[in-house]
Amino acid sequence: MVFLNLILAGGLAAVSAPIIIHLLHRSKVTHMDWGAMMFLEELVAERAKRIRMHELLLLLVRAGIVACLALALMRPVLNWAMSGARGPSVHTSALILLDDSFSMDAGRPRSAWLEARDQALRYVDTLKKGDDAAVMFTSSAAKGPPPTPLFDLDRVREIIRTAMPHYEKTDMPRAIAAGMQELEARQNPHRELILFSDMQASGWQLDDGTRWSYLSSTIRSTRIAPTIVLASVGDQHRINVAMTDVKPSRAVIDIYSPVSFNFTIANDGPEAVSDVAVTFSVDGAPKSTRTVNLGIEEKQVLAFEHKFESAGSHYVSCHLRCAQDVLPDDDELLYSVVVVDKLPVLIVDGDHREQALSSESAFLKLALSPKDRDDPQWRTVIEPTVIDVSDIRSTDLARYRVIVLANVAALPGSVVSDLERFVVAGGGLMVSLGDKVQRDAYNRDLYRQGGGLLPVPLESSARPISEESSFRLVSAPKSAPLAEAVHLGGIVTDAPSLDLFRPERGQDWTKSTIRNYYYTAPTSGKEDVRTIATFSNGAAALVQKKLGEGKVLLLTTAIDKDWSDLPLHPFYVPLMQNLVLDLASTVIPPRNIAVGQILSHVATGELAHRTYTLTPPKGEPLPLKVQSQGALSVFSFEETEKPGLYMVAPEDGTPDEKVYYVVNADRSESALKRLNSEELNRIERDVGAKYAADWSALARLVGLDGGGIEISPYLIMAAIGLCFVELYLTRRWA
Amino acid sequence: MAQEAEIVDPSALERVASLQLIARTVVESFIAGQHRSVYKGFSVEFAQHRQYARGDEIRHIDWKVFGKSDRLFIKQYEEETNLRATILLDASGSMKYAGGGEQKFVYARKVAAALAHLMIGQSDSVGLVTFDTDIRTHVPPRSTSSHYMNLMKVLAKLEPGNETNLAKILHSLSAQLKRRGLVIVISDLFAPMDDLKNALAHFHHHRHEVILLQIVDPHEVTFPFDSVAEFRSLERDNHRVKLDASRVRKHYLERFEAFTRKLKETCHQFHFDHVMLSTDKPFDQALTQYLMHRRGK
Repeated sequence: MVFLNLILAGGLAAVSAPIIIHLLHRSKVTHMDWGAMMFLEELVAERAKRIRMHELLLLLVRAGIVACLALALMRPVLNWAMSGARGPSVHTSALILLDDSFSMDAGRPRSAWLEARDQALRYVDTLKKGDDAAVMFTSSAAKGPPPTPLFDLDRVREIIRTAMPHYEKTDMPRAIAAGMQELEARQNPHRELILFSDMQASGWQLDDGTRWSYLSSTIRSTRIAPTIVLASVGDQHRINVAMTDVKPSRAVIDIYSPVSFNFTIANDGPEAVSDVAVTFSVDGAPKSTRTVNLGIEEKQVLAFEHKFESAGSHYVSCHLRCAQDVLPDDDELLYSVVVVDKLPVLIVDGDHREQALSSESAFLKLALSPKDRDDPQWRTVIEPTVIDVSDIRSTDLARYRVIVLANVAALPGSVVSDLERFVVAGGGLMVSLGDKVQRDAYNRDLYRQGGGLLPVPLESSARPISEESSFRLVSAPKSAPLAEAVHLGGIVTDAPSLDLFRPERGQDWTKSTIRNYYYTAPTSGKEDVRTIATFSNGAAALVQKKLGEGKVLLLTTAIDKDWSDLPLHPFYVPLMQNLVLDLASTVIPPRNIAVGQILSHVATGELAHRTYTLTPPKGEPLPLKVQSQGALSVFSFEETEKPGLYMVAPEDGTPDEKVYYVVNADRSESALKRLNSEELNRIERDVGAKYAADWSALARLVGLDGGGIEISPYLIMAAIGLCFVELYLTRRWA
Repeated sequence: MAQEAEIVDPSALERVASLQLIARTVVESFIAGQHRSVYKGFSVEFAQHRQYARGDEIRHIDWKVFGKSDRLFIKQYEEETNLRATILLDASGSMKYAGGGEQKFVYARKVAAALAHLMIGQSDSVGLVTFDTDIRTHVPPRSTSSHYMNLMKVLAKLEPGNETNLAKILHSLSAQLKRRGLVIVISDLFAPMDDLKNALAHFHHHRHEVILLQIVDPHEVTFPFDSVAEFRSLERDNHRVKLDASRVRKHYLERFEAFTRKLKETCHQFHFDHVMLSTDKPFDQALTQYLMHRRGK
């Protein structure tokens, strides 16, 4: 039993009124001296027990009258069956939760979305006067103000009719929890939460046990357990071919070399598909078209190579055409590309020497900007600049995308602060070690108990630094104790900057010799720090840290040949270039964002003072809101519900000044695979829900043939009845 | 003197006195000289002879019979003597009750005084016994005017108090009163009927004539209460009964009437008189009524 007006429970205190009256009545007893006690004693002896019983019964009857009235005010509801079925004399608070993810748009000629709307309207028809209903969408659940419960069912129908699918990522546990919270605030005694969904498995996040256990406990703690029905809509077997992912082959895309865009195409359907035409376009212009065949649940990666002619903002896209496809929203995938013509890198040399190739930065500078004797025009995008450590104070760090600290002994505090700001704002920092490095200063100023730039603290060098002077030669002496040397070893599998150097790609790191290096503390337990490469003995070689929007990379040995022969190996040049490009890959603010994410555009210098407009997909240009932050102007746009291409441009600007932003819908929605019976059972068990495969099952589950009932009228009748009983007993026993 | 004046209400006595002639002619027990007493003694008229026994007075020997038969006989005479009445006045706690009229004890005391005045006024001997749990005073019967004043003093000093045990007292007195006479019990008679009946049987066995003057308060007769009340015993401390008077009235009255009915039956069985005197009515009227009733017998 539950009470709708539990706040009136205090009324039960009125039950004490007859008792208090009884006690007061007792206190008002007349005292009387009496002579003829013998007659009264006989009476008392005969009747005392009976009178006490009568008084007790009368007291109970009177207290019962008050209790019935007090309980009636609390509006108790007897839900004897606990089946969740609707009762004939009880009002319902309904929450219609519509899955408006774009997967609901799948299905031809009739989509799951249309079926869900029809069923929701049909469900509203089952509500009666006095029932209230609210419509909630999975895309907006728990965001913003909750939907208003409406007694005007026509208004509810209108909301359902005019609703459209959205493209935000589905989070069913969150949506159900929000629906439960909304229902908890309602007043009607019977509660129903009906989810109309295609039961797509991806949105349920069943592998997140913590959230489900939290949701279960939330539902269990509700005052009135609602009837939760999972109403399934849409076809069971749907074929969906989708462009699901794109990855460029290089972290930094320039105008000097072609880049491959690896598009993933997937068939999520239960049948193989053939003759799927895939068209690759750059800046909206088709470049090539391929035809692919996909087996059941097969994925293929299609690489499209392209060399950009100009630096600036570009976008690429892949669009497929498939006759069997039921979901068009995921047939195209866009990707915004920032093409650069130069990548300025600052190398801070901590051991500068006049002799050729003796400086700490010498080999690195050569590796980052190699020359081609046969093609003098050939060049890389990287433009290295070497400065002495003493010049770092006077250098404008913001001009560079990446800074390399090569065997720098120590840095002044102000420079450390500047470097931290540089990285936090999206810059890349590489730190290589050597004999000049002052370990304690590094740990104190750069590591800063984990809050600084250095990913891990330095412990000790593998060999005493004093022995290193004997190795400062072009080639190591034969007498060097090579027995202790190590070589580059393992690579963390998902480190893209080291992808080229995996053994399966033919690179042999075992020929390298590392004579000395610093041991570092383990990285375990730190989410933003990870070792991406190790030496052959397992010691960390490359440790990466994410700091703000930028990255820091620690090379635990020297970057020149003093502690190793790395610069003498062929992989040194691509390794250094890849590490630097990876550090420079961060694009701030991001230009590929998800639906619902805020689109931000940053302008500096003269551009910061101009007015910008944004042209959404299939829309007209809109002025952008601007917020000045010093020399920067940040333009933002929040209404990114539609996936597609968003173009930001200054008013009266040139075509080169256009900046492309891409908003993509969550591609997990492309996987139309439904929850299987085991998963449905688990959900039913965890949230106490019932699965309705079709309308008839839904109608049965919220049927009108029994269930809870509000018993206030019966309590009032009982109170009246007890009044008559009291009257009768009083007269009879008087 | 004030107390005496209260006890012997002159106007009441005057009213009662006006009944004297009727009383003398109707009630043999009240009027001496009009009727021969049933009590035999040594008085004026010869009744019979009996054989002499040691201890008999020699002056009562009939020497004529001795001369004729040479045997000693005593002459017995029918005594024409005045009445020997003993008034038993209940001074127990229950007599303190005063609800719808005068306090029962005050009323009873007046009745006792009036009766004493009447009887001494016609040269009858009147004794007085007051009692509650035990006998508190016992004044043997006499007929002198000074005795009357003595009785008045005893009555004036008397205050009702303790618990009563009427049956025990009556048993005790019936044994103590050697000579037959009139016993007037002035009490509310609230005692267990079986015990009371046994006690009255004892008087009957000793051939006493008994008049039961039952003094009741009108509230005890009608039980007019209608609220929940705690009835505290006037005889026993801390003895109380709480009940809803309106609910028990019917049952109370049934019991009271049953008691009265049985009392009347018992009196009828023993040829005793029973008169119920309600304190809301002047006792002289009640006595007059009673005497008129007796005259009709």
